This record gives sequence, C-alpha cells and structure tokens, in this order.
Amino acid sequence: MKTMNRLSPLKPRVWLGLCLAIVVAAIYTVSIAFAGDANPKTKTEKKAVKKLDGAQLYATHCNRCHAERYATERTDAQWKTLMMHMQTRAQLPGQDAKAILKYLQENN
Amino acid sequence: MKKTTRFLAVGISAVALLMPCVPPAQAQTSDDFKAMKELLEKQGGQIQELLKGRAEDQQKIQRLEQLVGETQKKAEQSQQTATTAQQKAEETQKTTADVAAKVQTLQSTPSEEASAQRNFLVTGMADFLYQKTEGQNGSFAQAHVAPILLFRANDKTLFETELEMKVASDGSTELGLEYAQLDYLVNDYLTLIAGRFVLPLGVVREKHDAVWINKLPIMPLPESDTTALIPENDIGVQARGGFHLNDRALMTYAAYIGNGPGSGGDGPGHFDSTSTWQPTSNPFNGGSSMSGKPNGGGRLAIFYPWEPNHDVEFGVSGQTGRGTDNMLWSAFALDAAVHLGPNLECRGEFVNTWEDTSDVGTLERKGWWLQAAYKLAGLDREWPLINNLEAVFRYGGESLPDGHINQYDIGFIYHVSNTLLLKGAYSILDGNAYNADSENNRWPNMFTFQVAHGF
Repeated sequence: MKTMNRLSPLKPRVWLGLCLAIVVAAIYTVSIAFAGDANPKTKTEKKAVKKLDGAQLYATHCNRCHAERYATERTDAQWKTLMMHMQTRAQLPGQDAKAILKYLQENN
Repeated sequence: MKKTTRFLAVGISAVALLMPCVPPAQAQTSDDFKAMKELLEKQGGQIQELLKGRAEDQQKIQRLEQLVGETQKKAEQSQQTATTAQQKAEETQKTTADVAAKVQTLQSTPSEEASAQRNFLVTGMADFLYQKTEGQNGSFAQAHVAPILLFRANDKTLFETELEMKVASDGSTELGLEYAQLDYLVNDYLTLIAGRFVLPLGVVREKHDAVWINKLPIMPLPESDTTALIPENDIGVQARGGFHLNDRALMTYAAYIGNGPGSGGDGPGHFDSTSTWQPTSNPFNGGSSMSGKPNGGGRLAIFYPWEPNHDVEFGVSGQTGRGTDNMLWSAFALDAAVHLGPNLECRGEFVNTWEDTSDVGTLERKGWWLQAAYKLAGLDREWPLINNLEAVFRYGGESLPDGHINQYDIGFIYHVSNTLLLKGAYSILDGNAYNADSENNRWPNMFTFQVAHGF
C-alpha cells in the first residue's frame, strides 16, 4: 500500500515539471526578444554571428548527423522544402538555414 | 709714203712702248691654263660627284616613293579591314544585345517550379534486414519502407509526415505513423509544431533513428524495441529552435506538451506484487491521454563547432507527467557527441526513468550507450575498398528493477554511396533481466546484416 513516504520521490518530479514550464516560458520570451527587432540585422546580431559562408555552414551542420547530401541531388524548389524540414529537425537558426539553402541552390 | 711710214713708225713705237706693260703672253697663258685646267678638272670631278649623288638620290627617292606607295596601299587595306571589323563589331554588339535581352526575358520569367510558393516532395528511407540469433534459425527479418512526405505551403508553413510500412514476422504488413506534424516557422529562432511528433527526449529518436543514419543495424538499448526505456512519439504541441550564443556556439531548445505515455507498444514491463510479469506499463506510441492531464518535456543542448567536422554537443532532456492508470512517469536524459575530423565520431547517451505503479512503488530504470565510429579512409591507405569502410563499436547497458543487461556491438558500414549503406554487426549480450522473448531468460548473441537506403 502506498504511503506518502513512498510517494516522496514525486516531489522532485513536481519541481522538475515546474522547472520545465519556467524554462519553456523563458525560451519563448527570449525568442520573441530575438525576433522582435524590426531590423533583422542589428549590430548585436552582427556581433553575435560570425558570417560563416554557406559552404562552411553546410560542412558544419549537415555532417553532424548524416552523410552529406550533394547539392546536385535536388532542384532549387526541393532544397527549399528540405531546408524547412531540416531547419525544424536540426534546430538551425534561420539565417544559417538560408545560407545553406543559397549554397545548395547555387551548386545544384 | 711719208704718212704710211709715219703710221708705221708710230705703231711700232706704240707697240714698243706698250710691250713692257704686256706680260709675256706665253708664260702667263701656260700657268693660267694649267690652273684653269686643274680647276676645271676639279670642278668636273665635283660635278661628276654631284651627278652621281643626284642619281643616287633619285634612286632613293624612287624607292621611297615606292615604299610610300606600298604603305599607302597597306594603310588603305587596313582602313578597309578596320571598317569591316567595326561593322562586324557593331553586328556582334547588336547580336549580344539581342541575346542579353532574351536572357533577361528568360531570367525575369523563372521556371514554374522555382517560383512556385508550394512544393510537394517525397523523401524517406528503406531497409532490408537479415538476422541470425544464437540458438535460432536465421531469417530475412524485415523489409521496411518509410516514406517522408513534405508539403511546403509557403515560406513559413510545412506539413511533414513519415509513414512506416514493414513486414511483420508472420508475413503480415504493418503500417505505422512515425509522425504527422504541421510546422510553422514563426521566425529565425522559433518553430511551432502541432500534431504527432517524435519526442526530443534523448537524441536518438529525433536525429539518429533513420536507417541510413544509424551506424549499426540495431538500435541502442534504451531505444530498442524490446528494451526501450523512453517513448518514441506523442501527440501535442511543441516549440523548438536554435540561436547563436556567439560566433560559433549554438544553443538549441525544444519544449512540448503532449498526451503522455500510452499503453501500446513494446518495452520494459515489470513484475507486479505477485511476481507476475506485466508485459507493458511503458510509455510508447503515444495515443490519447491516459490520464486527462498533459505531460511536458523538453531538451536543451549546446553545439560548439570550432571548425567544420570538429565539434562537440551536449544535451539534457526530460519529461514528466501522468500516463497509464494516472500514474506518474518521468524521464531524464543526457546526450553528448564529438567529431574529431571527418573520420572519427563518438557519441553517447544516459537515460533514467521513474515509473510509479499501483502495486510495487516507483520503478527506476537506467540505460546508457557509448559509440565510437571511425572511417578507415582516415588511414590513408591505397587498399581496395578501405576508403568506403567504417568501423563501429557500441557498448550499452541497462539497470532494471529485475536485473541488468549489457550489450557489446562490433560492426561495420560499407558506404556504397552517401545514402546507400551495407551494415553488419555482431552483438554480444549478457544479463539477468527478464527477457520476455526468450524461453530460458537468456539474452542471446546475434548477427545482423542490413541494406539501408535514404532517398
């Protein structure tokens, strides 16, 4: 028969749930702060992101999980669709995804 | 006569008187003549020279006139050539302008596909498996096709779904839905998802589950069908994205709310209070909410590449909520990966779950795996086939309420192409945890061979 003592491990998990909720709220708030600027190329963003070119970003991100997919495998429109999928799945910042897309479209 | 004489006398006298005034004619004439002769000769020579020089000059003048004539003729020809070239250049310029105008027309009218806002794409993977388990007959175990359908509605909206079709052990066809989600790219840092999605719990399900990405033909213990500790997917909503911390480091996040653990699927069961094996009380194949209360979870990770193919990633994830029988189920996972060049990869994961039960209290389960993969092309040898071979070693284990399991996998990949892989692995298992698939509760060794293709 369960007792409160045996259920005490629940408390850390309640705290875990609360922490996760706080983290979610913080992340959402931060993301809005990042994206809320009307001018997407503020000095802060320029300082924060070194402009790696599309080829370097492609080599950095696309080999993290799988073998590289060659640019010649797809058309421009297909790469655009695939990069939306990869931006979501690999959690790429939008500017990195756009640079990789440009590199792929220029070399297909 | 006298006059005549007188004239003669006067004349002679005159002559006689004048004679002294007149030089001696003979002496003066000879010298003068000589001098004049010399002078004449000299002048004659000069005249000859002048005439000769004049003749030479005239010849030169003739030659020069000839040259001038030829030059003039060439100049006229060059002029004519230049005129012709100019005409041709003008014609070429006109042609170039016409072509440029046509190209401009073509460029301003992109192809239908490139300019279309919508796009539909089928991608996915397929694999074929042979497996020989110790003490059993070998067989072709699986033919598996998983098409991924991507539908781009516009620049911000993507619908994606993965179907799974495979042949079951009894020959029937199984159809599954890995995920079916609507993605909305709010901005460069935030994507909202709704639908059935793969849980960002640990790293394997989301990023290394695909057959052409997984480096062995079998899954790590915490995610394997019969020994899995964490669920694969759930129905709910999710927010995810990534942003740079500095010029290199990338932080990724995912947070979700879902129905929580389901009651279907395989996984670790437990012995109840009567020591009867309960085959499943585990969180797989999230369906409807079992408790009416949402579950929540997420993953935070930092990815740091110091140069291409040299990077490290650390992630922490977790989920908590009520599932089957309104009982609390929680999970915590750590994952890490490192790439040291294009040939060496190491990655691993640790998972800890807590499951409340109605009869035997809280069941704690732990699972872990560590994997190293090395592409033999890094040896830089001219041996045949070596550049396409990759050696893989994985160690995994689980600590369960009813015992433990250890698994050692030694395998290889032959990369036929970037998306066609031949994989083989020999798995050595040992443990005393309950094995529902084994009559004598053994964990037998097995050999697995797989042909995997991503398309």
